[in-house]
Amino acid sequence: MDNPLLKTIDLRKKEIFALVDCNNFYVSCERVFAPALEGKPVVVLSNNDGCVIARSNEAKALGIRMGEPAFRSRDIFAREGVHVYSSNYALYESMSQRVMNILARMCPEIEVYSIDEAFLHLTSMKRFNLEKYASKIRKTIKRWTGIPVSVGIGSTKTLAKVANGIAKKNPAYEGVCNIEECPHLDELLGKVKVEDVWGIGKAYARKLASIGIFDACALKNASDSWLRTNLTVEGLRTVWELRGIPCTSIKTVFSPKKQIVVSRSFGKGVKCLEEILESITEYATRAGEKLRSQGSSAYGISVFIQTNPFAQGAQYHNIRGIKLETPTSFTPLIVKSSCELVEQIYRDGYSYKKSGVIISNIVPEKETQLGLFEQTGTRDKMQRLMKAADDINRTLGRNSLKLASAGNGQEWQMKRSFKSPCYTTRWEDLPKAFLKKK
Amino acid sequence: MLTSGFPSPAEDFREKELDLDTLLVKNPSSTFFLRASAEKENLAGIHEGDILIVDRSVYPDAGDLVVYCTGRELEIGYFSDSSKEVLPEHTLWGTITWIIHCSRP
Repeated sequence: MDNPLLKTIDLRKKEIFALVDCNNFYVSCERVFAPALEGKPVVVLSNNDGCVIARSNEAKALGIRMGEPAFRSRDIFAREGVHVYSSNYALYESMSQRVMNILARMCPEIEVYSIDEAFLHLTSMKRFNLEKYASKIRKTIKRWTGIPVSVGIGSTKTLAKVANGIAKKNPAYEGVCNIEECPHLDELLGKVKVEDVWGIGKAYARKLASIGIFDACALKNASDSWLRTNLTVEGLRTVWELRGIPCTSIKTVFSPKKQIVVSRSFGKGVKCLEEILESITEYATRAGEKLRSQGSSAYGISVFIQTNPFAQGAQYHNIRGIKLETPTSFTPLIVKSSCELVEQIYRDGYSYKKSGVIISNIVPEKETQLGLFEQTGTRDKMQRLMKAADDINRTLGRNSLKLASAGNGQEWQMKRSFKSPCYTTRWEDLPKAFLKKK
Repeated sequence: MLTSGFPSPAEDFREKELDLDTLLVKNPSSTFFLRASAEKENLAGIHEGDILIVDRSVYPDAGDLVVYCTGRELEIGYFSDSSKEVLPEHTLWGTITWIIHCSRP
């Protein structure tokens, strides 16, 4: 279709983006330190060993689906000898840092998008052979960290994502696809389902299906007015990006979170208030750390507790919050407030499955004014205390220094029966290398 | 940094203190620490429990100590240049750059 918009793009100003994405990231992390897993079906489970959040290609081939509840797949795991791991976030974060640091060294401008994906802004390099460059990135990351990645290149982020998907699914591309150099772009787009396009989810896919649009090529040629009405301006932006018009830019400046939530499900039902208070103390502490690490303070503190909606027994859930007069990032205050709130909403006789702390009305630390009754110097002292605590925890490990009220036994912690060692963050967990007698 | 009332004549010559991290880890993104598990023999002075600093970005020379993967686990051996691999079925994991031995376990 002749799109007049495309004619007006000045080709000298054409931008180039790449999406670098690790293949089956969590599984790949496990495989670096357990080479016996290569070529075998492997899955990684979510918090509490609840559902499948990562699968190796061999596990995918067995029909195991993403998000599949683990208990439902127990038989197939046993029958097919699937290797099961609980999520080891300490390890995955550590490996992610390594991959991103390598990318930062090799590329002029990078935007870390998630734990295993980054966008590269390659416009300044567009006269270079981008496939060769992408291939070099792939090989370097694989050699230096053991993590396999795929690279998709396009004139917009959305096209780069489409290209990445193509590279991943077709071994012929050897992990790199530059969609700009593909001779039959529309043919390729015709093979991509609309719900696989970045920005188009299941809801939009259904709307598109109702007017007969099922693939990315048809989507690209859809009418702008229909798109604006039915998919909102976000959906329209996605389609413009498919047409080669960049509508998003590289975000290299981190914007602090507006709300911080720390919560977890319990491994087993928790009945008594003491244990709930322990968990809330832990989450409030963590929320305080997150708040300070982004240079913020907060006015709003809320807590919630709930029973398991899928279990037998009486159901109860409640949430309560307060707004402080002066914003805080001082852990003892956040903990005290959170505990008071939980005591107000706790009801005896229920088996609770989850609790959490929500921090809201977040403002930059610098903007906080002294409260009417606050003494000067107190805030300073509090900040120094928290900084010292944060430094110690960062060096000696999470929770080296913590409030006594967070408890020692922590019976309610997440179930993670199949977690691998923290190979890169704990001395006692170093991977072993064997020296065999020959 | 301590300040005192009297300027030190050595101030102009102050150097940065020695730091093991920069000596031992040249490329943090590709460097891993492994624990040696040695049956009786010790090869090139590697003892049970030693920490091995392994850099995956360093291509080994013939005769270098390396870590490689067999089908089952990570093993230590010498890199032989003639075949460019340790052995056909085995793949190179990384080159051992330092061995840390604790003399007071």
